Amino acid sequence: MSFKGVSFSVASYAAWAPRVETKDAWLAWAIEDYVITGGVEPPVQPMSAMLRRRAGVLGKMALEVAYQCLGGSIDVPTVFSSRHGEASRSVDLLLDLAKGVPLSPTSFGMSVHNATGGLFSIARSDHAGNFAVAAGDTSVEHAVIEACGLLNEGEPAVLLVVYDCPLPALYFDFEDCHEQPYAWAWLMQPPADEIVSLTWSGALEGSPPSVNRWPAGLEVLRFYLRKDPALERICDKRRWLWSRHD
Amino acid sequence: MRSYEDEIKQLIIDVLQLEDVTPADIASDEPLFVDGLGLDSIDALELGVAIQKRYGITLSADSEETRRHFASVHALGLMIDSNRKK
Repeated sequence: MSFKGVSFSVASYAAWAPRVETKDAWLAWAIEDYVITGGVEPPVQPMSAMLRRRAGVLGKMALEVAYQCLGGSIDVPTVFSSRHGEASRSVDLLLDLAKGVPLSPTSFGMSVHNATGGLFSIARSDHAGNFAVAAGDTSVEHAVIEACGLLNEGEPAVLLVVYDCPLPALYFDFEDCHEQPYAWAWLMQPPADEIVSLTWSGALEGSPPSVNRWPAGLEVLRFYLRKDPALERICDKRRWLWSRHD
Repeated sequence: MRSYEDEIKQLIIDVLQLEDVTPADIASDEPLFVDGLGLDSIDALELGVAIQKRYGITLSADSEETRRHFASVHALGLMIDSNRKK
């Protein structure tokens, strides 16, 4: 049997970005398709201040949508997916190291890719599995495959959190899309009513993606919010096809 | 001595990003860790780095003496007062 696709349903969703905070604002964004900018932080009210202080802007965005999407549920495995993760922290730490300045232990601890997911599970005393995915331009696709693997193993629901921020200035030359700050979450369930499918096949001839395109996470969110029938992404030598069917 | 302790309290608030805490909320003789202010081991390391940067004092991370110095703002003040290099 060849493994070429996964299917699931979205039981609930949440999204947060600077000045795009409500569901209505996100629907408007999906239609108008404007660039998101700004460095405002979400409140992350459900988390105690003593834990929340550890998270930076990016982590707080991820935590905000995770709490909003999951509500009070416990024992739900979580998959946190970010292409760049805490790149800004890592660069600051490397610059300190180069200058011979002592590193901030908190910043070092929070720079690892699973730190935000860890904070989320500690704050809720949740022992459910917690996964951190980084897979370049196809981080969303690989996180969805990971989550569907968990559903396939019998988990009734899996929380997916997708989040990213623009790269630190030192890395601007490496940008291959129009980076923007955002976070969104899906509470994924085995395929039921409205089914979302992701299939993939080997590399096709095709034009390389434009640097003016949106980050993958925002492209997928727009596909979901606009209820588009399909979204094709050609990257990482594969053709990824997102589709929706009732 | 009093103003010195206030300086340490402000350092703790700034370095450990304690939201909504003012120097007046921290009692000088109250435990800083677990009970009292409720700081943890990462905070202890962070505070150690801050004291090194601000006062030029290097503390050994895992000694009984360091534990005593970190017991309270008052204890930290006494230690900094007799060891500061800047």
